[in-house]
Amino acid sequence: MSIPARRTRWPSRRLRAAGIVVAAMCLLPLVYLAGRAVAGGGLLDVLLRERSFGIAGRTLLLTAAVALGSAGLGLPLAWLTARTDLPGRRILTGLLALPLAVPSYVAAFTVATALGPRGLLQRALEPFTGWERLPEIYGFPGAFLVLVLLNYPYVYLAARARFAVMDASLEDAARVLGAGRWRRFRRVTLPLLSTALLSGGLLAALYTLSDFGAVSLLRYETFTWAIYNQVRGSLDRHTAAGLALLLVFATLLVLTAASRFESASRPSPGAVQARPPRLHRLGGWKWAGLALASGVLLPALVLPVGVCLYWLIQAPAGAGTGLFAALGRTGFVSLLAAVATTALAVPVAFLTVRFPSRRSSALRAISHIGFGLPGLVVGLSLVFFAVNVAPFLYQTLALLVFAYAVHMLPQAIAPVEATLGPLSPRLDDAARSLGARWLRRHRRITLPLLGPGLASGLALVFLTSVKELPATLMLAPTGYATLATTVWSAAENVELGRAAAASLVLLLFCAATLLVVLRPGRPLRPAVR
Amino acid sequence: MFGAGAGAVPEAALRCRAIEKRFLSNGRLDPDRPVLAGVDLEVPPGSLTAVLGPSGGGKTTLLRIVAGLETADAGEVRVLGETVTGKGVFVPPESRRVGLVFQEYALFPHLSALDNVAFGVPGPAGLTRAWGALQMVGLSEVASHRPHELSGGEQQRVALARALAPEPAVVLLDEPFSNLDAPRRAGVREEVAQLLRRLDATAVLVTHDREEAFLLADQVVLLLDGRVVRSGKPEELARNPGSRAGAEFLGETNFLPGESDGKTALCEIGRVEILPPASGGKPPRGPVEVLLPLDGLLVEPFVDEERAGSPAAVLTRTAFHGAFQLIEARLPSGRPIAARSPARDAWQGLLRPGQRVGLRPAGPVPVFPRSRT
Repeated sequence: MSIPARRTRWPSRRLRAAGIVVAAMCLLPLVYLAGRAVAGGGLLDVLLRERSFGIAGRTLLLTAAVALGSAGLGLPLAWLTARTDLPGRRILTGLLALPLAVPSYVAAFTVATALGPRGLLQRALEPFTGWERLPEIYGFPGAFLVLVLLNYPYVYLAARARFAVMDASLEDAARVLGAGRWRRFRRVTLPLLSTALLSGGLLAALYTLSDFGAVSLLRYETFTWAIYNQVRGSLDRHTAAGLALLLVFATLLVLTAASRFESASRPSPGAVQARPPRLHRLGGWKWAGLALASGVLLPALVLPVGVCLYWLIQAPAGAGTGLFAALGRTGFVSLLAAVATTALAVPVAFLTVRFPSRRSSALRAISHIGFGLPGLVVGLSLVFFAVNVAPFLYQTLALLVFAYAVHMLPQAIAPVEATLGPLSPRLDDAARSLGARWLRRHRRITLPLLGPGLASGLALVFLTSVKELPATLMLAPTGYATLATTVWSAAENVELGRAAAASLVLLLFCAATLLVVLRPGRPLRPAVR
Repeated sequence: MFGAGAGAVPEAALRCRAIEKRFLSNGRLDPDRPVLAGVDLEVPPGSLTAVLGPSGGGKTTLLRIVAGLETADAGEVRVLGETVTGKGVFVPPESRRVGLVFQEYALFPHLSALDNVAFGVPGPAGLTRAWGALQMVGLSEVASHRPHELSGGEQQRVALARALAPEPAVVLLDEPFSNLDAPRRAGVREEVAQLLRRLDATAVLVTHDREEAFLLADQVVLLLDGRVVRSGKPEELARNPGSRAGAEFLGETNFLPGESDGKTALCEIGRVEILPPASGGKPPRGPVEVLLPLDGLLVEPFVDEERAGSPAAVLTRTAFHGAFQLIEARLPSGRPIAARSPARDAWQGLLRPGQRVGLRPAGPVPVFPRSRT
């Protein structure tokens, strides 16, 4: 990693070379996929096929529904925790953000087995009600339910952030002008929240577009599951490439919209809160508020853990075989990914922070491409690439780590940039003028000062890699089962005890990692898409 | 007394010759706007030189070139006679004996004051020296504090101790007082100057503050648009700023067109004696601009033209500044002219708006060639 001595206004040759390598790495999946899809005729093929319209229609329906549902759930929860005297709102504030950390395949298999037509709920109710079946959960209802429960925190967090900087005197002004409660909300509060709702909703849409775990386990054929089936079932690569490119188009649309609203939703300096807002007294309504909050947390947090524990108890002997090996493999490959990704993030951060120019902002945009692409698409195009261009890479860990790095690079760039930004380049100059050579400067000054950012980047990439499913399914060498792929394939094969055991190990592992990393006073900054 | 051989010239601690530097604008070299266009600088050992000029005038670039943090496009830098920047020579900053105090101090935020100072003097012996340096700046009791726990003035002294601890051949100070608030500045400034003198350190101070440069420095170098306009002792500079632009930067406002005969010049306030040019050589002849320094112009109630030697001006305004009074008047041609007179003149209340006054310079004045238009 070259770190520039600020001798001239130009980045050093080493740093520029590193930037070019990173850009090439990040462009590879998209460019190769687009080339294959267009040149191989897959795109045209897909566009002319009737089945594609069904897939596209289902994808759009689910995406729009999840975005709206997340907004509908996230907004009242944000208001309840930010602006009312809801009992226990301190604890609820944190808990309500947690579903973001639950992998969709864990939520999907627990929800399906618990709430399915003949699931745990039906079994529990049958003695009393005599119901032999509950409504169907597979297909749209289940996918919608799971994805809304996991994605409403995007809206919830964005709206809470907006509430925090919203000047309470605006609402007071409306009140003095004679506006009633409902009119105040509709004419003042809601318009001020609209950008937060939009950006949070778009993030939920983005997550839905790229989700594979929930739609595959709940049997709702959107793009990702269709692509996977094309590759695994018929080995029809052209069609898969065509579908993947269509999915990329859809993702790009949402990403463009999201980036516009992200910049629009930053509060203007004048809007910074002058006075803490008055909390609304809920009175008797507090029970309704608590019911809503627990109605969300129960299926989103309690149910996955509870159902996993239940299946674990019911599990036949031997359900846990090989889980330790899977844990080891998960930890190993995620560690490799974290180190590689953070290492790649350092030159990008130096170029964008220390040498702002059109070129470095282009590099920054390019480094975000892989992050915007669904993991399945990154995996798919790297499979194609390895099979056709670099067979020596096919079925290697190196290719998997490469996919993780391209997919998660911005998660490491953001915290490194955030720590590098406030550091004066003069510190490096000062160390030089005091006689310190390259190694000593970076060992004594740059590394210690960059430490918190590097640690955040490592931790974020590590956690995301641990949970990553679709790219791992596509690229992991045969027999290299990680915790995520174990959960998924066990759930597919209805080995519920095994899926539950792997899920619990996975959740515990993530929680333990978080506890180690999240020391007080050192907040992790999530990368913003 | 000193064993220097006959004819030996005392070696300058720092010598810059014909330094040139251009910066990239939009990725290209901009040939029309050099940052430094042939700068010469000579700093005798044990002296304090101030490089004075407006912001953006290339002062900081000059310091960075001397420190080796920036390369020069042409020219030469010598430290104690050794070429550190020159044709085919570039000694990296870590191997020059040049200390640097940054405008924003650039203290390492994760190291204590003592560790900051010790950074440049590694090893166990270095710690003793760092301790000594901290004591020297009077900060041994906050040695374990981190930079953010120190006041602005303390940070400044830590930065100075850090730069001085490795005993550099020359220490460079980049606008060292600009981050301090006005009431603290005067005191800190005095302390730093005394310290540098006590240590017999060779120092170059960069500033845009005329008063600061005049007050602290043995030698002032006036740098405008990448060129050295004038260098010399503070009082020499004040008397003759070297060019019209230099005079304007120092706050002078009275320029009168005149005709020079090489010894005197005739202008609207009469015939005035002229100073030889700062750069040496003969005074210009023909059309010139006559500079009447604000502090070198005597204002008296007008008696008659014979005695005053100049036609009467009409006093338009007086402003009392405490230490002096600013007098504004209008010459018969309508041209405004200003002067500063001591406070006691104001106490006597002899000069009032509307009054006719006579103006004459207290001594010879500089003239600058005037281009015919």
